Amino acid sequence: MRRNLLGLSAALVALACSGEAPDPQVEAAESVQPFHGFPVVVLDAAGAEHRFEQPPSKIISLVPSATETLLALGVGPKLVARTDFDTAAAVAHLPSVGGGLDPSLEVIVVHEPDLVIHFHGPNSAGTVDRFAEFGIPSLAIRPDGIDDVRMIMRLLGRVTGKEALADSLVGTIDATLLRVAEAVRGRPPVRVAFLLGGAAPYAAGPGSYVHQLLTLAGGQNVFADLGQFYAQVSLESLVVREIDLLLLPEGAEPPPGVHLPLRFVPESIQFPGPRLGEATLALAEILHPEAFR
Amino acid sequence: MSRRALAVLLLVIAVVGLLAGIFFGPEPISWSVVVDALMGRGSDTLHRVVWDIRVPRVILALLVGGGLAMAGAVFQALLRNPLAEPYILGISGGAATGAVSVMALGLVSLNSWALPAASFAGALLAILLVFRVASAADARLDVGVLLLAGVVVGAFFVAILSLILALSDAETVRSAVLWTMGSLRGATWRTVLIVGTYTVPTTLALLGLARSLNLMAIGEETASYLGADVERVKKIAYGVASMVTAAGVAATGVIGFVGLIVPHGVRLVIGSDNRALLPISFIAGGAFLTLADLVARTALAPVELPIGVITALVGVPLFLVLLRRVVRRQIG
Amino acid sequence: MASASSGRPPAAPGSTSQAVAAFSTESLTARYDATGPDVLTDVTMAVPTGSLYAVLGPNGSGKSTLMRVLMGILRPIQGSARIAGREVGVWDRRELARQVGAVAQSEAQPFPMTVRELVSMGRYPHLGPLRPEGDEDRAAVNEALERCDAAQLSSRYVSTLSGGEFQRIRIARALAQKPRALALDEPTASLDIRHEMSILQLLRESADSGLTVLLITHHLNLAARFADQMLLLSEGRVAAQGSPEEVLREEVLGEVYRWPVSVRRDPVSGAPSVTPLG
Repeated sequence: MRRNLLGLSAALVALACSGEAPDPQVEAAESVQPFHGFPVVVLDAAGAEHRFEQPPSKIISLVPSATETLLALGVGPKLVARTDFDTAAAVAHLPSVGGGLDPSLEVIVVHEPDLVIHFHGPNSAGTVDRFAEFGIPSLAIRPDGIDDVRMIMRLLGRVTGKEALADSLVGTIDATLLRVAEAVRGRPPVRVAFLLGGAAPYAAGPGSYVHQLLTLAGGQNVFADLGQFYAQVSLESLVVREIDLLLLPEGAEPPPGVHLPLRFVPESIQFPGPRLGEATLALAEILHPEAFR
Repeated sequence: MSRRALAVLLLVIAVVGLLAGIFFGPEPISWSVVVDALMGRGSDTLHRVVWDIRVPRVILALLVGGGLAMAGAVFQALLRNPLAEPYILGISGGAATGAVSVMALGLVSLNSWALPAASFAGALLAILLVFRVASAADARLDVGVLLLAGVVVGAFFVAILSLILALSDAETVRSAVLWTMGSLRGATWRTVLIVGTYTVPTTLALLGLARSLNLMAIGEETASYLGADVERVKKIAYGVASMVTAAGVAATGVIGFVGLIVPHGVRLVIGSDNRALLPISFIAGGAFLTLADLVARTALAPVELPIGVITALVGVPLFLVLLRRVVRRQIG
Repeated sequence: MASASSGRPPAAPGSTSQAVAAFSTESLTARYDATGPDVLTDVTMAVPTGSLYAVLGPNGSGKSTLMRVLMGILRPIQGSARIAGREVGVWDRRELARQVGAVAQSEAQPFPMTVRELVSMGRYPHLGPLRPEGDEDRAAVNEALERCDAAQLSSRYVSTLSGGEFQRIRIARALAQKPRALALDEPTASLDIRHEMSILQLLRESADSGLTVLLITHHLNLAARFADQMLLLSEGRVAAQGSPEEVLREEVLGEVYRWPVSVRRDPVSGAPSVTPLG
């Protein structure tokens, strides 16, 4: 399935990234003082404070992009379970706790994690309370946009004692984004729309991660006035608004009766995560191919 | 089958369901380990899994299943209608709207009790609205008017709910849909205590009203002639049955079919005398929901199926079978 | 078995001349809707204890309303209604149900029930919410079923009964209450001759054995044959009351029913017999 291939490539990229980042000096320092920098106090996306005396040794991530980040930080061996939505090959062998938003409490508790990372959503307070009942610290994250990605990487780096590595991962991302910015500078922005396919399409609006990437990649989202993350748009608006290029995730159905230049992009660009740099680069290559020749 | 025999059979099934729910779960734990955990021996984690996750959950299933089944029987008697069930007077619409409003407004993040509190409030609001609307049309709260008011108020709440969802983001919609399908995942000892506090006295109150409900079922004029204080019975019975339903919905979301088919199933075996029907329906409803929850938790473990789906999938064919038999008997 | 009005036994002891009337109203005015028209206006009547008293009148004349007021379901706007001399509003509902067995025009059957279960509800006023049925109660139910010639129906489901059978068991239920009076709203409407006659004979027997029977009916001739006294209502007011001979007179009936009638003495039963003309 496409998702698995994506997961595989993601894992490879993550491994590659993690491969080039660690500083041998920092590693040596860590092995001498394993709890260097601890105790650590962090504030999560729900505004809750968490204190860690030492890096957690049994982690369960309920957010796939956080799982990717943790793998990139080299703490894969500390993961004790995964969700059904974690497609990375590196975690495929781990037992599943179900979905990320409604995981099985029982399965989680049985693995005795000392850290759970969950998505901070409209219904998560109940989940947090239940974890607290069992003495399991639950870190809320909310990867909505690019800044969140950086923040989460740093947060996870602090909590796992891999701050330096996290910083360097963020640095790599920033370097890629800089490269993209330079490549597209001065070029007229391409009028673009990202649609979730189907007969009644949802378009990415100004709050969405995709919108941010598109803007950085030298595109101009024609639906920048949507006022929401994603909203339904009429087929009419697709015709009326001048769109140079329509982007759809791979496998999606193009909206019927719309004859516009069309490109399919990997599904993963919708999900904020450590591959943010590559995603932006890929988009830029689609929007401004001549800049990368 | 005699009433006593059925009651005993259902009690046995309920106990089996209770034990099955403790011994089986999404995480495979061997029997001997579960026994150790129950006794307080063995790992602390497993002890907590058994005592703080599984046990409150099966007890909640018994309470909510029992409460819904009994409330269903009560509404059927009050409304003189075999198709009545606990949500018929707009309760599910109101509860869902309350819950989803709180989700959409992000209030759940502030306090996890916001959700059950809002859904309870929504349920009560719905039923108060139904009585208001009905009594404006007809002060005697005629059954036909009540049912119509229930449909209208229910539809109104569903419209509001749909509006909220249309304007919400994908996560809220997903959370809302999951909540509406019902789940026992929120079962903590505190939930059990609260729901129990509602369910136990209301069950006793309704048992005391059993004969009056028998009378109400054959008509309010005749009920009066046979000594029932019709207005008083209506106030207490509607009020109490609504509270039990609202408490159940607040704790678990909307679990359908239990309140409709369980009383009918019991009636088929022991007849319509509420003195037996109410308590036996309680036991049957509890047993049914406990077993349904077991299936929900273990069929596709670790993914938990929404329990409303299980009760409907089992309930619909069961109901059709019962309907044929009931109709056949009624036609004679 | 009573037939000719002349062959009826003399009024039972404790009737009009001495004791308090079983049912009575004084200047009773009542309406259903607070803003609507009066359904009964200034009705004064009295049902002698131990008699069979028929309430007659065209559709909409207030017959059922009168029974509802007497049974405490509807409150009078003016005037009073009494049972055994006590104002209706004062009676405790269960106490009233122990004294009067009332049968409404119709009732619902949403759920399957056996005849025995239905008739046993007549014991509720005695049992209250909690007390289980005892031998006395079962005996009362059996007796009531016997008297209504319905004992063989006791394990049948109510929904399988014919109209006549259903009415008989509803009366059995009222008798199971072991009341001192019965009040029935059109118990024989839509029944055939056989069922109608058997019910009226049953009611007559009950009256003869000391029960007061208040019968709302629109069957003039049958009422004339079986009733001791009658009340004729017209548009909520009393048009006539007294013995059948006194009430069933051509001019009064013609006016009340707005149709010319002829009243003769029936040769077989001896009671007044009304024949619509034209």
